[in-house]
Amino acid sequence: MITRKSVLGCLVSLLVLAFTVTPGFAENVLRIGTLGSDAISLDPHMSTKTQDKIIFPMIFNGLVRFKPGTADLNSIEPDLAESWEVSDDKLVWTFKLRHGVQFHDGYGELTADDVVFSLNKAAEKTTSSAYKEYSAVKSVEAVDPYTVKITLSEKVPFFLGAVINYHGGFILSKKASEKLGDKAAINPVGTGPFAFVKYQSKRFVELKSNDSYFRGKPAIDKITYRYMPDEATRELAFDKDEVDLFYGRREARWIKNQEKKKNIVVDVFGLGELRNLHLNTSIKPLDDIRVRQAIAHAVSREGLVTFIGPEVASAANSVVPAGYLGHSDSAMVYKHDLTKAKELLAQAGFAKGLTLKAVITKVDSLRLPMIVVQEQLRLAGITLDLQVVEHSAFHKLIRQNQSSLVLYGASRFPVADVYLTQFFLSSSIVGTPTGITNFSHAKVADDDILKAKTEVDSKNQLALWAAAQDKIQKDVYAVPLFEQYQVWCRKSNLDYGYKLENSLSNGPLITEKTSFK
Amino acid sequence: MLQYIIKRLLLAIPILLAVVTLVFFVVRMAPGDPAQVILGDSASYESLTALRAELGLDRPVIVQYGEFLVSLVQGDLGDSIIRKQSINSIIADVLPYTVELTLAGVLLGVIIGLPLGVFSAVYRNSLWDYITRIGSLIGLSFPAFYSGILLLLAFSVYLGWFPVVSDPDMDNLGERLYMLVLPAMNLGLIMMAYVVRSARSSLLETLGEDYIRTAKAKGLPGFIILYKHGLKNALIPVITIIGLYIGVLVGNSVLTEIVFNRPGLGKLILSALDERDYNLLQGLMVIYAFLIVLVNLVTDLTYGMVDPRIRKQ
Amino acid sequence: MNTIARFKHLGTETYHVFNRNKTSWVGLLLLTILVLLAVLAPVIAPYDPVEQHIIQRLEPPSSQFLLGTDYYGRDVLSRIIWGCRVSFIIGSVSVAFAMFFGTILGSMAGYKGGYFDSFVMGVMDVLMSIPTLLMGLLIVAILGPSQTNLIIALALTMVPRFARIARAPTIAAKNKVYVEACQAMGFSDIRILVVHIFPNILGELMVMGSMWMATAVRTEAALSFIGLGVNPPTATLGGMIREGFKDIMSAPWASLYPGLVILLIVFAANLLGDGLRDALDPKLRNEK
Repeated sequence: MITRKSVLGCLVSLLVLAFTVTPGFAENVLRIGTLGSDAISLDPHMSTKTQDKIIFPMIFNGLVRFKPGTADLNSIEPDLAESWEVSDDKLVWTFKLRHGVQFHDGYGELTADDVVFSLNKAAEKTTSSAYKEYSAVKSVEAVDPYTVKITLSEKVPFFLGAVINYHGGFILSKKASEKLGDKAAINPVGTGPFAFVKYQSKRFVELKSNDSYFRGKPAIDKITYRYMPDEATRELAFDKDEVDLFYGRREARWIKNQEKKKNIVVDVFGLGELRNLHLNTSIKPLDDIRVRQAIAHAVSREGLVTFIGPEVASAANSVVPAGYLGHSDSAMVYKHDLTKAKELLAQAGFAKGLTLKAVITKVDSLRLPMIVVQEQLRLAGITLDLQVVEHSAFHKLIRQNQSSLVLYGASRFPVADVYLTQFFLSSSIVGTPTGITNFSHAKVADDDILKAKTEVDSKNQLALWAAAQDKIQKDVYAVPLFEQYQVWCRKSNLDYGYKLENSLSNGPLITEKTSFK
Repeated sequence: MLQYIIKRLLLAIPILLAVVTLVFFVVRMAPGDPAQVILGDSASYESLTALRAELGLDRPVIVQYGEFLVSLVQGDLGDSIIRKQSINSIIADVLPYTVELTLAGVLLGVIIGLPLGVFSAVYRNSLWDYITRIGSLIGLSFPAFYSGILLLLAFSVYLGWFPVVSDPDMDNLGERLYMLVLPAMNLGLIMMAYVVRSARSSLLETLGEDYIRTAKAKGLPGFIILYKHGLKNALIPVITIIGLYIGVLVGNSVLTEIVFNRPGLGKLILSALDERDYNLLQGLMVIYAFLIVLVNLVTDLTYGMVDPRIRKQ
Repeated sequence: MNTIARFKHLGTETYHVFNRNKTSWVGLLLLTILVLLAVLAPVIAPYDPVEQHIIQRLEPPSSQFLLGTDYYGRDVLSRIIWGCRVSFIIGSVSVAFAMFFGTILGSMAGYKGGYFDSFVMGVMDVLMSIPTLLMGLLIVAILGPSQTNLIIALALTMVPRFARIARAPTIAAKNKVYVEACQAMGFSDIRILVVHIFPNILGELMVMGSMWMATAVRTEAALSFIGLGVNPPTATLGGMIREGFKDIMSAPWASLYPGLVILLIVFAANLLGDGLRDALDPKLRNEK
């Protein structure tokens, strides 16, 4: 029966092949297979999902940007702003805009009004998920059509981060946003090298070259950015020449298999995502430091790095990712030691073992390592009763103190303050009105974190951040596990046009210089 | 007859209403928060609360329910919470994919399954009958995702005849048909198994009836008996089997869409569940419930048309 | 004929017909082997199913790991054996629950008739209007995934099927002379249901039981495949396929073998159900 139908299938396929000669040869089409099943929003101020973050810098610009391929705070260069000045007290920032920059779809020239509109939108609770980064912004004014003045109420650790091509820093067209209203979230209008053409829910976003891009006409004519939530599907699609660039699996074993193939280049790059194991100290018996220390001794970073592969992961030594301004290499780290773990458990009264409840998302990037952690804890006599739930249920439950251990991974703007504030400052404790992601209910480093925010002397600032990291780790509010890098695969003839070492968006930046060789 | 149809239609209304109500409250019981999905993981409690208020999620559930019912009666399923698009249009976008997949699967199942079932019944207890019966039993034992994986491995990976991603351009008929082949085959093979079994058993039953025996005794040629009396009566159960297994069919189409990475209602419902897009989720469930009630209705009506006794009940 | 004799008679007759149908014996045998495998899991599984061998991940079948290792370096064979256990527990317990409550509800509805009947069957119609898989997805999303919740979810989707099966013969039997006689003699409803009506529907319930057990095992696997199954590190067959699907190109053993075992379980249960049906269906029975 199967053969009969396969013959039929073969005939149909031959017929189709005869009729559909791909029109793609005429133009340079870049087909990207991305992660995720759909866009959450195409409003760059709103979505923080990786699949959306990657596409935003293709469509939008910031006032300043990281040099493509880098995420080094020293390599920030002009983007929509030609130049900028800052007052001595670091509170007044003045940006001079580039002349003649056009928005897509005939929405006109970029002016200071668009910048004022965009930054105000980014600072607004209901229109931006980045609004907290702008809480120190007192005013944004258009001095003239090409000059924007931003006044701060207090010094912030790294202000350029708020106007860079990332999250709230993207500049939108005021006219387009007002005209499109609610629809703006699925019809982005920017100034970037590629203009939005269409979006089909669950399927793809199509972009076309912005021929009047201020840095020059892009070499790629068209981009199809296809949502492919399944890893195996992305890989197979590449093998069958259905995509040119795709989000790979962040695992050494897999990369080795890919590299056996012809015509493929695997890029492993930063910024790494740090995975910390947060210990909820409000849940018994994790209020006992001996239990927390036992967990810290039971977990094996080396085991996790072996599991993922040293090519894509490295053991973490701090709760702040390496490469971030303010990351410390000297914070206290507990060594893997099962005997010690068992001793500490016994001292805490759990000689016969201990059961902890935890939830984890069904998303692979967190679930897979968590199952390894579960096994490592089991060997130390700690049973982890692990419930796998949908991603949004996970987010809800970990904010309701439903999980004693929270494995969490994130990449943020690369300044220690962001990480420390969101994860370890007492005002960020989950469940409180100002809560963000302080799952451990840590308070121990408040003084240092707060003082560092406004510290003018950068040496002192670094020392404060280092002290905070040491305190958090010594008291085991979180156990730093590993950093996992980004893995993308491309056709070997695809050239980004720059050297890809780091990317803030977790994906390769497609610029006007990106081309097929 | 008309009276019967009206009566059945009226009976379907309370069921639909109950399903809609059940679904509305049930989807809101699952832990999760669409505001969190929109704002991402670094959002603060404050901004989540503000967004929930803006989305209208903080109003009493009963008020939301009332609004939902009012717009539902007008044929409007409301807007997606996450993407603010009209749910009617989101569903309309992917509905053709699911409809063509399901129809192709059913068609394939009936076209191949029916003759096989008839053969099996006519040559009862022959080797062929045994093979068909075992084969069909294996077919209906297959979890649809497993058969899908096997088909994908065999035809897309090893033979390379079909694409791995069945996400066709709807305007390109050739591509559409081409990409439909494997997923439809996956549904069709399982459907075929059901059809073969039901065709065989109902035909056997009919062939055992008195009037067929009489016809045989009168010396009518076998194929005439088979066609005139047997097959016609055996067809109806085959039609109704679609009604009976519509639930299985829906489940299998969801799994098929996942394995073949094909757009459709099934993938939509999974991501709506993932993102806690309550509006979209309840909209989809309403569509599914409506579909099933409709199919059951049609099935009952078919029965009613054929068998006057049922109408009178 | 007293009740016991009636059951006995039904039993022996069924046995004879069952005996003639070789395929159902194959089904029973296959199922017995698989159940034995599941029951004896702690004894026969070569490894602890949760033990990870991080440096021997996704290794092909060898003399050390007969069916290879999975993504975490766990022995696939051991996990399959333990996974069978979970499948059988979930399949049989959910069917048992559904059969118990469904039969009671259905036969009560049929026996009492009137508004009670309309109400119960209305609720059943509502439950039946939501496809099994979607119902399972919803319930697991609300209650959270766990073995117990999966059983509840599956049982809830199957209750209406059993209620329907139990109702029709109850109505038919209710009007029989002997039941009316019992009522006249003042026997309690429950006694009449158990003694006179239940034996009449037992056969069909058994058939449906084995058929729905097959469906339950398959649905459980599907839910695990979607990612809402039993919690880790417990081995389930559907979960193994999901976990292995990622590496299907480089390590097909991690997903194809568990799939084969699901297929075997479901096939065996269906084969058995088929045999039982042939044995119990009077029309088919008398013909031979």
